[in-house]
Amino acid sequence: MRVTTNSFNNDLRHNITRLAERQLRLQQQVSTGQRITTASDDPKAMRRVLDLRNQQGQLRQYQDNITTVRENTNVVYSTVQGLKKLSDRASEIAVIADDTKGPSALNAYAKEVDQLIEETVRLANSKHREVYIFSGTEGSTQAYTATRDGTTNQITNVTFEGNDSSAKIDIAPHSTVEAHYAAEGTNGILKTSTSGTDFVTSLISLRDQLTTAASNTATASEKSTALSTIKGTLVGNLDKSELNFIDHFSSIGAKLSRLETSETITTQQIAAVEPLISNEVDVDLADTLVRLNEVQNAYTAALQSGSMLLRTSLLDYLR
Amino acid sequence: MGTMEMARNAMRTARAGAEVSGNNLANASNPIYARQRIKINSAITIPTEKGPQGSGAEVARMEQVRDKVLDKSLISEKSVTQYFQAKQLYLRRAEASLGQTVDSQTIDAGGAYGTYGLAEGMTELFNSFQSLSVSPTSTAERQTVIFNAQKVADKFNTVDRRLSDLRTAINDEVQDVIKDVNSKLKELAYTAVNIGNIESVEGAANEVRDSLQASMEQLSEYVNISTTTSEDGELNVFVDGVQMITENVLTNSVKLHTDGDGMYYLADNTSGNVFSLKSGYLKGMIDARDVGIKDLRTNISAIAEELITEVNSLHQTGYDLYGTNDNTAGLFTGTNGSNMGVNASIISDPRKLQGSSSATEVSNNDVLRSIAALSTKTITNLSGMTFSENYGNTVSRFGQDLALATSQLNDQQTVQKMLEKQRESIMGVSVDEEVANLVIYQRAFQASARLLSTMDDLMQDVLNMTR
Repeated sequence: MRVTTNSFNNDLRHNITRLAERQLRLQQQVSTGQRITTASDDPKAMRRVLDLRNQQGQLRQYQDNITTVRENTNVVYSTVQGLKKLSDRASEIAVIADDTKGPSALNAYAKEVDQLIEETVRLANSKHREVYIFSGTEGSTQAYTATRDGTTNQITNVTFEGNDSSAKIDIAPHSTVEAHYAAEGTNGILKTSTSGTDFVTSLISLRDQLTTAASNTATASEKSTALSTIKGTLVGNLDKSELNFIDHFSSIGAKLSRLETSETITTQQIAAVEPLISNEVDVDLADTLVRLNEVQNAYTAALQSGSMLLRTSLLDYLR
Repeated sequence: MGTMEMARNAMRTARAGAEVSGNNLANASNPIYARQRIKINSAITIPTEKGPQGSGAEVARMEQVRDKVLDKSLISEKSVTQYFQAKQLYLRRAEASLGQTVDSQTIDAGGAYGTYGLAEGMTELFNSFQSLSVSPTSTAERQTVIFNAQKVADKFNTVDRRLSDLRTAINDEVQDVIKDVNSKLKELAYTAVNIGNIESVEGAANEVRDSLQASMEQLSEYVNISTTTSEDGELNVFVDGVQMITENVLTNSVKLHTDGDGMYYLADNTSGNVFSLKSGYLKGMIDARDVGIKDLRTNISAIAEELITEVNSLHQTGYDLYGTNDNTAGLFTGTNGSNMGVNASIISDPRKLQGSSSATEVSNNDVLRSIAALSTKTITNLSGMTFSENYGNTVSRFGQDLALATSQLNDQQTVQKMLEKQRESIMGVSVDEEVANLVIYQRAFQASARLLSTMDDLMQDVLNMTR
């Protein structure tokens, strides 16, 4: 083939441009650690990366959901724990309050129970992050409103203002947990549909019976009826409430353990997606560095040989 | 005396040869120049009684060394190269406008994304609905939803505007190129006429032919052309099969055709028909404008449209934290990617976000969960894919178009480079060769001069005999 003066120039220019392009590309890959940055680098891989990252984003969100639900459930758990303590003390008082105790002791019990009522209503109206935890899905409504006696200012009755619905929260694809609790309802914390489980009413009744038993104005038979009501009905009812609290403990505990398991699984899933993305996106550093080295050698060789050839011609040898 | 005449002719021939070499050397770095050489013929033979006797050499003509087949191939190949060049260039710009990249080196606190494209935007939007569904009364979560909705709407607006601006910019350039096509056609006709004029008087118009070839190649870079030469050497040029130059005369031209959307096309000035070009930079631009970028914009806008429709129709069924339902209030305003926005009254009061399915239950999250579930819902109008699947598909299909254009461009550049190399090897100037030729002509000149001086000496000797 006939080789002209421009053949060298053109070829050298073309080759140097191509080698420089490759160097730039490989250098970009090495410095970013990524094989692909835009869709055109590898369209199919880009598609998979977008899908995987979407999946990862969703999983992270499920993880966040679980964290929040766990936090809420823990608050409910400790509140129920508080209620159970109150219930323990009430049961104790119901058992020890009998006719061997004098009026002043019974009066003291009545006052203590009144405090238990106040505390129960306060706990039932607990808020977490500005949401009433026992109002079902009516989170901005206080669970109980109390009716108080005009003279004594004691709570005589409570009305449940919330509902017993619960919203579902997604904790994994196609998997939800119930998020809300109600003070009253089929599965109420303080009152269920089973008769005798109404904790607040039991406490109010206990206080009132104790007050009657300690009263100076009540007749002996009234006092004796009051004490037998405590033994006959209220001890049993308080036991039913206690059982209800224990039931809730175990169901809340079960939910917490389910949430924990879900969180572990989700964390594992997120971790499993990461290497998949990495496989698509990340560069094989060793391989790329070797290729970069090769291209650099070729580039240097092209420049060296080119500069030698370009400056030599027949003119150098003619006198 | 005849021999002296012969030596004089030979010296003239050698000098002409040296001049041609000099001209070649002067044009050694001129890319459109085809090397020239002199054609030397033996001078006429004189019949003598001793038989035919040579009378030396003379320059028959100066000729160009060109390969017409390669010249024609390059005209069409350059056209194809420029087609891919334009397509690749503008699709790459559109890819940048889309702004969907992967950055795995992120050090953001969230750790999820280093860059913010529409994919991340939609995932974040649905995720914030999920978060809100856990705490429906939380104003902070409501604000996050609104913030993410604004972010994704802005991103849709930006992408749509950038792609639309890019189309407008390409369109303006199409207009400029069409003007250039006409001026190139005029230039071609002018050059062809010049060749005719020169060659009818002075012989081969070598340098002008170089310009003609260069002009034809430049025109072919814009549009696909074909050329023929009539029996008497006159040039005919066709743009996409329509004759523009007839026997060196510009008989037609091209004009701008504007369609209903204000998009420019190349049209035949006489018939008004729009050309359906086969190759060239112009076709590359038009294809990128009307197919690649337009489709991308349409697809992205369709996703925005569906997102607005789906989110709003669910939102309209819900109740806000005041227990009010406004069945006309959507979270998003607008109808597509270009005008998507977020409902101003929800921005000013996040409590108006309608997420509950009951007027009294503020912690009810039915609507919020339904909206969050849109992330996995297949949408009929998006070819039965989810939002993220459809977007991923759009991005990857566009990426494939661009990757294909890039590899086609590389292949085509290799083909063009090969042809150029072959042509350079035929028509290019070799300095070594020309310097060697110079030495040959110098020697020939010296030898003829010696012949002349020898003959002169002989003549002197003859004249001296008579003294």
